[in-house]
Amino acid sequence: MLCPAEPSAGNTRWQANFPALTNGAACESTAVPLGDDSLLVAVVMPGANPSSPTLRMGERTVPVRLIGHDPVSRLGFFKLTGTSAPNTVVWLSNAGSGLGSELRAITPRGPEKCMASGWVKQVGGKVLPLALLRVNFESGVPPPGTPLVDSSGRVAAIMFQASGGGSTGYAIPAEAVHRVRRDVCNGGSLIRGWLGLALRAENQSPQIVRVLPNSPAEAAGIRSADVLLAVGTRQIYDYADAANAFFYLIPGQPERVRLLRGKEPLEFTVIPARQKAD
Amino acid sequence: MKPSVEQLENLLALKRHEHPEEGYWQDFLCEFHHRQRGQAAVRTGLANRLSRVSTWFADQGPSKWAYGAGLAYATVTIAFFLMPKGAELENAPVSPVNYQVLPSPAPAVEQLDHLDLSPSTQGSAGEQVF
Repeated sequence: MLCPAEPSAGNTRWQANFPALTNGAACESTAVPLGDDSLLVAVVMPGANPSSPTLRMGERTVPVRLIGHDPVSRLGFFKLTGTSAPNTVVWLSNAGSGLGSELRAITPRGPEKCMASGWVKQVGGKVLPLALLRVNFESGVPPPGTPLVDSSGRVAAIMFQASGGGSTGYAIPAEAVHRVRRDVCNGGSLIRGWLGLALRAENQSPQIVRVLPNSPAEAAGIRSADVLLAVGTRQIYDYADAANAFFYLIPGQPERVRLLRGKEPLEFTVIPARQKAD
Repeated sequence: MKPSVEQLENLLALKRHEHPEEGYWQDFLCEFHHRQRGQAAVRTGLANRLSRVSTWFADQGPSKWAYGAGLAYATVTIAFFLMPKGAELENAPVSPVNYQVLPSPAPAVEQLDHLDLSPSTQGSAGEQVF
């Protein structure tokens, strides 16, 4: 039985190998059980083919089936066939509570101490579609998919990739895994919520520059030049915060939006629509 | 060839008979004094004038203070009229500025559609619709 909180978990490590796409590169990721339905989640790096993975549990190859893959978050969800995954793995609902506290990475070598030091919303002038956790390790950065657990053994995040130097890496928070799993396991792909408002990426201020006609934002009463303050429970301080908050919108699920119109703070309830495919 | 004693005696006798023309020495003295006075005048002209002015002032007695005050008043008045006025300064022609300080362009920010952190990945810039 795999339990990321236990040091002996290294002996029963699940490892997913993904072949390369044309002009791509193969990758391997630690697969983490999601606690029920024999589901596992792994990170499929760009250039790898998620549709035909090979899953190993220790030295044994285990048959597995792809449930769905989200190219935005790079998360792939797989279901074991013919065997079952442990159902004792507990996930945190929100990784933010683990910020600043000590975590442990469950690596093939055993647990290693690490610490989530903050959120990464932008890398090299590029705003990320969802914020990642910046994690500092005492030794090297573990491979993608490695679970990071808190002191109670609950999974707070899974590793995405190294930051490019030193012993710092980026991790996908647990709430992103939950958000993607919700859609992927139901329909095979992530359906993002759409409000129909526009912001400019180069603006530091999260000011709405345009509200599309016949959109959920217009129906709620949001206007251009309004400045976003919060979406749901997420505070919005800049454009990258807004992009991250919009990633978690669920179509049809009402969301509270706080904004500033002139000097007047206002609050609206918006029901996101299904984002149309590009 | 060395000259003989007889030749030398003849030469000395000839030199004894040589004399300047009549009036030469008188003209020489006149020319000398003329130049001497000229150089003295060039050297001491400014000092002489100052000396003469100060002597004149000293000879005026108590009235010299009135003359001094009048001179100072005239100097201040002339300086006042010759100074540039404020209005003239304000209306001075403005020379065009060749160097303009332009605001630095906003750093390019792109919105990544997918989590792909490789440096070559290209995102979307400008307006983003959510």
